Amino acid sequence: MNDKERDGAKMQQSVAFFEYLIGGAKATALVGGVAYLLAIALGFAAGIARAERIPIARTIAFVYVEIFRGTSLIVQLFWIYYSLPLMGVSISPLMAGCLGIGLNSGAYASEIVRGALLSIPAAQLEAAAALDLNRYQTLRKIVIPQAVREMAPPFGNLSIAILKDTALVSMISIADIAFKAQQLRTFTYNSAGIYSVSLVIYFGMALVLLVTSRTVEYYARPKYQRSWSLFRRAAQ
Amino acid sequence: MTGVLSIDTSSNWAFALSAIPILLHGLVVTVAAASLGFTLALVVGLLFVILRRSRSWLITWPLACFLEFIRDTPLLIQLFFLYYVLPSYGITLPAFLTGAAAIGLQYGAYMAEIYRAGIEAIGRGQWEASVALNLGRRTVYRDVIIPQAIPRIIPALGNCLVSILKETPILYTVSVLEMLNYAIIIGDRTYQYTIPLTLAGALMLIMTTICAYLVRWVELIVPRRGIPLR
Amino acid sequence: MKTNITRRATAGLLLAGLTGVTSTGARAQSTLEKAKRAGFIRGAVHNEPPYAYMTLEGKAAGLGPEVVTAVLARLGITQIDWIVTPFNSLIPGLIAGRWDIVASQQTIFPARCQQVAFAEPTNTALEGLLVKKGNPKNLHSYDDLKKDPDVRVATAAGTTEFNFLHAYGVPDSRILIIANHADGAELVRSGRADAYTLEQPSGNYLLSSGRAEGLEMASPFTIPVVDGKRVISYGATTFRKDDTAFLEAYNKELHAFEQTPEFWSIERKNGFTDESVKLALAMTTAERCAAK
Repeated sequence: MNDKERDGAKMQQSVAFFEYLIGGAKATALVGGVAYLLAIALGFAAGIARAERIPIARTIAFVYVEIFRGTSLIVQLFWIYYSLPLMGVSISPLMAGCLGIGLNSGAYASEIVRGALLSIPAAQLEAAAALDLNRYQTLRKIVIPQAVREMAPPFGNLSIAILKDTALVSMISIADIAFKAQQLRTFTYNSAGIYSVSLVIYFGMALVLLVTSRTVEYYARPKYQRSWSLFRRAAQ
Repeated sequence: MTGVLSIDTSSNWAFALSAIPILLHGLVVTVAAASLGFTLALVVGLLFVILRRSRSWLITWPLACFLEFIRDTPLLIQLFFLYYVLPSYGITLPAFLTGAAAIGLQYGAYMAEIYRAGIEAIGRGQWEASVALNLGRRTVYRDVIIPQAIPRIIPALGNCLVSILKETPILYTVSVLEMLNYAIIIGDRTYQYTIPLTLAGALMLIMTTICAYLVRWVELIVPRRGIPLR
Repeated sequence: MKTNITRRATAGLLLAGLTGVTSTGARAQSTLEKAKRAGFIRGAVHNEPPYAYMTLEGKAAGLGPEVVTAVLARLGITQIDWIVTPFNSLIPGLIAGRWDIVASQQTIFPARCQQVAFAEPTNTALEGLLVKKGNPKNLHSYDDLKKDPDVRVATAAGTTEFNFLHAYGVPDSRILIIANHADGAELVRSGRADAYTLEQPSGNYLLSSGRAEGLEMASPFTIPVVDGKRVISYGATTFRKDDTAFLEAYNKELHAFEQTPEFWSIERKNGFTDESVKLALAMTTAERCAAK
């Protein structure tokens, strides 16, 4: 095989790898998507709870955040995958993956929410009190709408972090891109090609997330603050 | 050590107590790998940020794309790539070093951004004053900019250290005998995963808390105005 | 594989609130009855041709799945959801109820018999050693692995070979534990390991698959001797201990299936000689569990 033929064969092989590996993108997207939604929900719940006056809510939120931010995601995933069934809770690998990443990212999300809530100027809260709005109304009508603008960039970065975390669910038998890459290696020992194509697929998905998050940030700002230079800002 | 695993499964407490020494043995490896990875990342990050600020766009553009690529793709795949692909180019590093290299590479890319943000946070006034004083480029960096940048970036670097510590168990996948690997081995032997994994999680939590306090302590002792580099 | 994900995803999301219900209580029903009513059963394999593996098209192949598919069809179960998982999580997953049957032709081993139940054995295998071509370190037995202090040997997690290495006194620092069978050959080829412990059918399959450049099976090779006996592995399908009704029904149909020519053609197709299979059929699971 001369050089040209060899390159041609390599191209064909890469295309074949791509077609096989892209099948794993479905599981990656599913786990990532569900985990992201779970993280947002938990993030708001825990983030708001930590600013609450009720000690129980604060403590629970605090413990949750410290545990899930202080331990490894892979340990958490294995714990949910191996230990829960032994306690009688039968949970499918997919649910274990979504739950694990969701809980872990939820802890980070709660910090984002908390930071954004704290960044609201005190003047806003004072004005709300002057207008005789109760706590719930203040939160809903005044604080959160302004906080959301602050939260958009970190939540965008969180989505990419979750994408990278999904690779770990291949360790608990979910057929995502990383899992399929390992499978493929049983049949052809071209690790370089397989992993390169996997990385390219992940990067492609990350770029999509990057553009989406920058667009959300762009539209989240009032018209006079919008600037296309947002898109040139490198990811944090 | 695992061949002579003396695990007592008579009761939960006995099990936990006999598992702890084994896990601690692994924790040492985990911390060692994390430290090595962190050090590598500090150096690699510095290299990246210096290259990034080069005047030639032939270097900066591909480098920016490369760094984005490293930052946005999973560490697991990068680790596998280094572990399985490098040997075919003649570089066969032991798993421990390969793991540290993978961590160093990915977190180096993050640190490049942190360094960049730290340097850019130094007000223009400092640069203008340096120009007015006719200081050379290297002198400006060494004596004006970087000493002021260091205290600002310590919290972010500290976060990186804690993240690295938490990601190090990923080395289990390339057969490094660190804490998670031992926890799984114990689990495979006894079919009881709950206790080893919970213990591993608890030990990790203790380590990251110690680490967080360490970072805060460093923040306190570093003078606010900057560390002179001479 | 595609339908597995969709089915699991929809089932998982819809039943998100009901996870707690599927506890051990529900398993009191016979697994066989449940499978027949549901129309499918969950089976697990690891990736090690020719014992059990998943083809790229997502079909389970190899001695284990093919025999299990045939026997379960005779029991009225035609749909099997296969899941691929590392070898060392086959038994834990079975016990945890993540799947109902393991079709990996796992070796019947007393320690395993304490945790799970095996069907009657359907194959035998001898140990082997995968080394670099030319066998540069001259490894021809487990003794050689022990004697040379520079030799690193790779072995899959949870396999009996791991126990044999310990029986021979090979220290942990020289054993590389891998999760996937595919990594063993790669480790030897890259030089990270000097040898990979595997059974001869796996080794022969690897060498004949045309993807084993630079590798060979150590020859001549002395079969390891543990507790005074030459090691012969008997492989069988694995069941949960409390699935006694299922196991009995399975063994009955398996015995009937062994009389058919289809059984023998499956064995031959996967590289198992008639003599080695006859040896397996002459042995009973009870004897193997009690051995040692």
